[in-house]
Amino acid sequence: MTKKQPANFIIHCSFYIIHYAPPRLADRLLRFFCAPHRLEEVQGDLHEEFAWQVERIGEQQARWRYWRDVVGFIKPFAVKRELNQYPKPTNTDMLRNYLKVAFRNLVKNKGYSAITIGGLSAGMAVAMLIGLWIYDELSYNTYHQHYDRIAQVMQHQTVNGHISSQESIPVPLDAELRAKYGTNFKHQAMAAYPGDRILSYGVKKMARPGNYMDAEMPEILSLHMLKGSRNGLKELNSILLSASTAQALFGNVDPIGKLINIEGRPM
Amino acid sequence: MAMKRSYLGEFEEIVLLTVAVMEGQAYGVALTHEIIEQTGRSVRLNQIHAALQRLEDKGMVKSEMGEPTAERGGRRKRLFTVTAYGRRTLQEIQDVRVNLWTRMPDPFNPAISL
Repeated sequence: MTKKQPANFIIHCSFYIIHYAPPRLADRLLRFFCAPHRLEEVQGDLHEEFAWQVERIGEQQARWRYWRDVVGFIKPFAVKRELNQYPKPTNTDMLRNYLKVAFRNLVKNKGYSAITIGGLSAGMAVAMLIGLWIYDELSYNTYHQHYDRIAQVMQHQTVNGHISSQESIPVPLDAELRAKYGTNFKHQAMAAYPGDRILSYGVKKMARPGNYMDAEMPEILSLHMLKGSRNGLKELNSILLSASTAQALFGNVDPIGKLINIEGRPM
Repeated sequence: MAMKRSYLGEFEEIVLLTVAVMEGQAYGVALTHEIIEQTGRSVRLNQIHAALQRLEDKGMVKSEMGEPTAERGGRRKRLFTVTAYGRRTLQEIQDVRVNLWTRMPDPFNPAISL
């Protein structure tokens, strides 16, 4: 039988405990490796054990023991972090989810996936080919400085109501253009038909593509001259050779001033 | 008898039994001291924690946080209680042992002891 205490009777009990703290460094080590969700119970148990051991074996021994106990907790069960059921999403989580869902849908509807991917790849292949073609067209002959201002004169001929266009123009047209429209052009040059010509120097003979052209042509095409000048063709019976052809004919010898034959006739 | 249950290690069994004995007051330090006292083994705190962790994973004990105390620096205890499953497991272990003891032809203790 216990007597009931009056409700307002409060016992004030104050006492002092000489409090020995466990090694701080060991505690820091524990905080470092121990999983946060276990730290409270583990550290609490360790501290309680320490207080108990101080009574039993003295502070110094208890401190050593504390170290040993802390190190004993470096085990997977204490170190392993808690798996969060509701993890904080990062910026990429939603995007990764989209990718995952997209992939699963592709796997689920294999037939439609094949049609879609096949159609898309065919379309992309065509688009890329068109792109390459346009790139080629736009980059073609841009070597020439004024490539966007160089024009070829062609002519239309109407025969029996049928219009045909051709590159060939009558030679007098050159003089006519110079006389009437000369102020519209900085340079003007006639050319023959391109084709392979046989070049010979001594016993060396070779066929190279080339053309007979007016002297102003190198200026129109803004050719990069390795030797000589763009005015070299002003002299009749002169030839302008590419570096590779000069190399083939003369080797490493300077080609300037050499005499060669073209189609068996001396230049 | 093919029992479908997780088997208990010998140490786990002792820890589980001690948790059952200390019903409601079973936490790391108290269990350690009790087991040292009862078995005379040099048990360490981390071993008890690991065993309790395994027992909880197996569903033999459940736990909740208790009250903070001063010697724990205001930290709470994790108090363990045995689950029904844990109790049944202990019972089954005991039944197997009792059964084997009774069938022993030459028991260490004489049948009639006076």
